[in-house]
Amino acid sequence: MSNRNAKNKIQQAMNYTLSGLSPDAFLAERVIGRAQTHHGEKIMKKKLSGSLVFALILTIVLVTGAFAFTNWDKLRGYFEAVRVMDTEGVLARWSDEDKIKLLSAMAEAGIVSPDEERVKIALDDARPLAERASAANDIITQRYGEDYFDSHTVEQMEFPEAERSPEEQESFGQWSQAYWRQWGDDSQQKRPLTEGRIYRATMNNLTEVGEFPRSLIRDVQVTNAWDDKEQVYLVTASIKKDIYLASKQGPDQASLFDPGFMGYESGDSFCFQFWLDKYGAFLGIKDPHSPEARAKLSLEEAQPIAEKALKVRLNVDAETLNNLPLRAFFSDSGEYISEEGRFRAACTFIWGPEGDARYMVDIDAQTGRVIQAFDWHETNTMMEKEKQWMAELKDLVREAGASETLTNQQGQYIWNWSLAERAAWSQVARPVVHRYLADHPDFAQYLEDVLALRYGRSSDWPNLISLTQHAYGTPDDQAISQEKAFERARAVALERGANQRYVDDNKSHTFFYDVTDPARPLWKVLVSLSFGDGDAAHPYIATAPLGYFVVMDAHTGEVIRVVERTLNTDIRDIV
Amino acid sequence: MGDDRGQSAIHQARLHAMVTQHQGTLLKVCYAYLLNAEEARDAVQETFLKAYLHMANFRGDGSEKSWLIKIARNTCLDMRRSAWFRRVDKRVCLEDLPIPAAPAVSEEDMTLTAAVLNLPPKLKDAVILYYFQNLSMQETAEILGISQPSVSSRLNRARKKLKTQLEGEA
Repeated sequence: MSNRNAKNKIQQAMNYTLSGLSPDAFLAERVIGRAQTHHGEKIMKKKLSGSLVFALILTIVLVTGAFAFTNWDKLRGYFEAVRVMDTEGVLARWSDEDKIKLLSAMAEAGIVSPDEERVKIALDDARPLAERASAANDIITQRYGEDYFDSHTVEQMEFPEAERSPEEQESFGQWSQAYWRQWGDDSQQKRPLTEGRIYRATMNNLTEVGEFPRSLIRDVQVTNAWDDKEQVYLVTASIKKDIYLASKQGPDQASLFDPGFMGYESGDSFCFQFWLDKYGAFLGIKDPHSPEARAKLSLEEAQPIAEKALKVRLNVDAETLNNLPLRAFFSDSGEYISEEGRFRAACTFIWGPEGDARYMVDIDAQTGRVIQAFDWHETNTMMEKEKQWMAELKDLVREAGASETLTNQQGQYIWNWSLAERAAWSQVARPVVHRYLADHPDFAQYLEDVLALRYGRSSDWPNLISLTQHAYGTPDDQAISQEKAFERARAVALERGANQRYVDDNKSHTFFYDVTDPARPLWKVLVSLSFGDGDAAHPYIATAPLGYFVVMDAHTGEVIRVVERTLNTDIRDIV
Repeated sequence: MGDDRGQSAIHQARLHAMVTQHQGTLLKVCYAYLLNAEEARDAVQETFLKAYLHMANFRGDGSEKSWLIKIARNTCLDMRRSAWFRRVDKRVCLEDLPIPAAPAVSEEDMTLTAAVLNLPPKLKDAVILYYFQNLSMQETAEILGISQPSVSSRLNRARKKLKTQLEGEA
């Protein structure tokens, strides 16, 4: 289920299925009524005499000893202590002394009883620090959980918003705002950045993305630096490699620290970085592999190169460009770098209004080489022409009695045909295509221009053109067998580093018998290493080739050419 | 006083508009969290009450819908924290779903809905907000208090889980 697909399906399913929930026609009136009752209650309370209030409170205190635990005034002192701890990063660093300090505040607020054995141990100055901290840790984690916590968590757990009276809520709100106002900001939404907030943002991301062992949370070190130009904090989280690697359950367990994901190595640590705004709001994770991070040229440096490329290649002058809006950004180009398992980073420049781009240039963000520069209007025009040419050509191929869709009657695509079937097709289709190209030199020229990246379309030719470059036939008496040819191709692939299991498990190796030069027929074997997306036993390896195309003399078995198939390999080079 | 009354009339008019526009949505969202139609209605009423009382706090820097959904979600989470709720087995079977008003709801839709409602809470949270309520990645991340990659990760995990679950039942 793709993302978009999931959205549509889930919306439809849930909207239909839950359509029977009947709305309340008088809901607004009920809400207003309840709101007015809230005010009414307040007025009634004001009318109560002071002595009656005192009597009532006394009664409550006498009736229930639990009153002290819900007493906002008592909690206020505790919350004050916890907020300071959060602000100063105490809760983040979480040393033995910090644990005892927190427990002491809990006891003072009456949240834990000073008579409890473990509390006594924790607060006993005469005992060793480790023993006291261990006791404090037991109590704290039992109450607040084992992961980590912050002042907000503590406040919600000890004094749940839902259980506060309107007066308590108001008093709490005033206290909370006054606390944060120390930083000159009245808004509770935009609290100033504290070490606790930085730590919390780190933990949120670590524990949500990928599988980061919670037991290592306090082994993560966090530092931050203010970027005055961008007005953001760049936070760096790091963990010692040996600690992290020792915790890994297997290669599939990954977190933001993994260099294959968002992490990078620095000395003896794995790190990742993210941005926070000046109030601590999370802005995003810095991808160390993003095109921008890999770029060695700035956009400003690359722009003159792009402009020159348009001038030289398409004769576009500076004035034309100056009159068009420009968008410049870093992007992944169409060039795949197998060794890195990612696309080459590019500085991309698009001139023209959004929705009607005119010129586009991709510059290699590391070397400044022009990857492609083209006129979008011309591209669109040519692609329309290509459609017409191909429609005419397909009609001719079909009329000649060959499949123009490259699909046989069993619905198999041409890769899966038998050698004989492909030979028969080739005999009919190839002359038709060649004749058409000879009759339409502008189409033939266009195909050459596509290869030279003159247009903003993929450099792949239509498969019908690619598959009629060569004549296909069936092996003659002197040819080595298909099995023998595969054996040789397999050996070549393994020599070049192909994963043997991937080779042997694959059922989609493809064989061509090329008789373009009848005096020297060729076996062409595509040793495939790619499996479907959902194949858990053979996951996609970004840095490995998708296959090896091995061309050999059909009579002698001599290997003539080997092509490593990557995402950049055109079909025309492996047929 | 005059100002208060004027303000109150404005708020009441706005409440009426909000209820008309969002009641249906919030009912479904609250049902998804609470799995009980009556409790969902209570939660929706509570949501609108909170919204009405804090209308002045809505600063308009996000959509009204996402503001209401945020309140509704918090209300549902508070209700779910109650001792009673924790004791009740809240797994959903097809026959537990409300009788649909829309004619001819397919069994496939009902099965998918039940599968979504039975997702682990964190995954369900992300699916309800992003997929079902069509909130943006940023709005979803803000409501859940997590990063956008985290939302994305939860959605991926949810999709995988739904796929496994639905294929398992086929």
